[in-house]
Amino acid sequence: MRYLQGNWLAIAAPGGGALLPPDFALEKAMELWDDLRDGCGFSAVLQHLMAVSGSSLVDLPQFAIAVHEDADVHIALRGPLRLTGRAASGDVQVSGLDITTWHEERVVRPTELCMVVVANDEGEHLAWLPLTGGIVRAGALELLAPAVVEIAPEDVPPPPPPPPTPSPSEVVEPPKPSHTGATTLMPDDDADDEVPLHSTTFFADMFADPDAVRPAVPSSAADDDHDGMTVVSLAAEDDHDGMTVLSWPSGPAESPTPQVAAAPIAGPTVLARLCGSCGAPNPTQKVACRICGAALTGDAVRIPRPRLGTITLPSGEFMAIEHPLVIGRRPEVSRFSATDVPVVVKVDDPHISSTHLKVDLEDWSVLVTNLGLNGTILRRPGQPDRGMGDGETVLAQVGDVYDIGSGAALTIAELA
Amino acid sequence: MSGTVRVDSASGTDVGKQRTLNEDAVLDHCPVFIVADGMGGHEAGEIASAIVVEEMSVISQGQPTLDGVGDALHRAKLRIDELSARGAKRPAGTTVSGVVMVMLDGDPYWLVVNLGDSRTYHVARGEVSQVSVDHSEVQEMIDAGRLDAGQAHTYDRRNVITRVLGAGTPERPDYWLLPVADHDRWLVCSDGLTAEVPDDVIARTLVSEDTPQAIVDSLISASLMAGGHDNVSVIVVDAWRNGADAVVETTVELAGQDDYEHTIKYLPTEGAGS
Repeated sequence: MRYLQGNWLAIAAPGGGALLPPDFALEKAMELWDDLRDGCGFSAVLQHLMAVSGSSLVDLPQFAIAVHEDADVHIALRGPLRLTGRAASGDVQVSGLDITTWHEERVVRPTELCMVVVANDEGEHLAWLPLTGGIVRAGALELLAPAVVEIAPEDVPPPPPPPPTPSPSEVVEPPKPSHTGATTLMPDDDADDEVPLHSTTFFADMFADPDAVRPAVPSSAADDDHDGMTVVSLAAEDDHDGMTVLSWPSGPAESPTPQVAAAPIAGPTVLARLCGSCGAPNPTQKVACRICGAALTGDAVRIPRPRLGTITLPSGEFMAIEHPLVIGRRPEVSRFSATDVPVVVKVDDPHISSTHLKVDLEDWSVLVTNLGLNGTILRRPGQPDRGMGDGETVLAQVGDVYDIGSGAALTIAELA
Repeated sequence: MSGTVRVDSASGTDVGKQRTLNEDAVLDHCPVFIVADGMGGHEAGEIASAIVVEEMSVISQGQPTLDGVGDALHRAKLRIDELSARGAKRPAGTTVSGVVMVMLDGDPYWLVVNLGDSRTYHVARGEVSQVSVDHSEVQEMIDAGRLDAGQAHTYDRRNVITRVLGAGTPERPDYWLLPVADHDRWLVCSDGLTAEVPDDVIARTLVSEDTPQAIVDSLISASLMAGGHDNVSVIVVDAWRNGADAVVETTVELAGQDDYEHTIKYLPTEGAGS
């Protein structure tokens, strides 16, 4: 999806999108966003909008809503808004002007779909910015775009190349180190580019350059550790180029054991459906691509697990969610293999337990478990803060803050 | 952060009463403690276990790291695979299980490694727990709920292992990382011990105040008395951590044939300044 900056409130999620007037309450916008993220149907979203606005037509705001329903898009609009696009039946042009109620329609198999605020004539001169999900100030929101996407060069990373599909006869090659020195066990180093987390959400500025959030974790250096927090490098002592995970050692020849004919993918894998439009991998239960919004067809394939998001460590640094994580004063790490070496984060504070918090990756899910004696407080946007139970595991959501005490916290900055 | 860890270890191995060849190998060289149980026709098993011990002993000369252990296992695997390629009828392979002391940001940790059905047990605060998870058909049956632990000893395919170093398969060892506690005791053994001697007897022996050597002797003799059907190998490691700043010189004392004390002095990593 893409958007043009403007004054209105654009809500975007894998389930669909909406445009709401500039003065629309943010908390209500968050609720609608939750609906779209949870995959609520068109009727539910529309009813929710009406419920938060008031019972009479006078109270109903101007709006545009679009909700994916299989390969179709169910839309409604009211006010100075236009919906344009292309579908199997031809061009789509719908206006919300001069209607007391609202215009509603189910657009059949659109390939392009865009909602625009009519007053925003300046749209032509602004750059389209990418958006995977969130709430932004916009004058237009593009939900579906044709396969070739033109993006303005400034501030925006290029669209991802289609991920390599490992063929059954492909032999697992030893990996090349990726750009920040983190060596991962994937058959092709370019697999790192599969998931273009170039999203802009509330934290737009931080993620303008996805490379900026690759693990830029310094190796352990106790003397310049002012805050007593260290991220541990599990590498050789003289490895100062950042986090290194156990690498699959390369043998004397490039190919590993000759007896292995059909090599399974080394390392953690997930089942995914690949978007036919932009190539991004998606969880199998999604119906629309989380990156470009195109309808997902095709069978599930097993691929190396892509980056699942970004975490903010207690030190304030960002780290990609690619490996399990353990945080504590002197954390213990239980059963792992060479292909999934957890990152160990030490926080030197007596109030924090030896092993306090664990982040595990299961398929596409990020799970956070509290193991701390003094507990962990979960601060989740839109919900009251609560203490996690002893040993309790939660499914992480974007914006979650896991407060382990003494000013140390782990934040889920973004999720794929 | 600096300090010392004092380590006291002992080990032993016996061909048992039924076999003519000892295909087990033991590495008891601080900070690496490994047992390997080899398999394969024509003495390939004996060579396979010796190979992994040799590769691991190389890294025991310096300060081992997680990467270093993985590399050593891989080098061993490649050499072991060559044994089979030269015409051995059954593919050569070996288990490998044990503990390695590594430094995690200037902090001493135990790295537990396991591949196969040899075992590594941890004794702390009077409790014995098996840290390693067997890569065996028996364990898979137990995990699947089709066998309970009590039936494991009589299960007729209890010698079938599902992962091994060598045998033409990619190695997939399991690892654990445990911070070195004030006082730790570790037991590393081949299945010649655990298949013969009941768990409670092993546990009672381990929580006793005896020295590592006394415990090793006791466990091996218990295995022989129970029938000695297989080779048996045992390592017992005791460690005491002293967090004080006092620097103690490395000492190696030979008190008895297989006994020695080895003091490790640990300092912050390079970047922190000495």
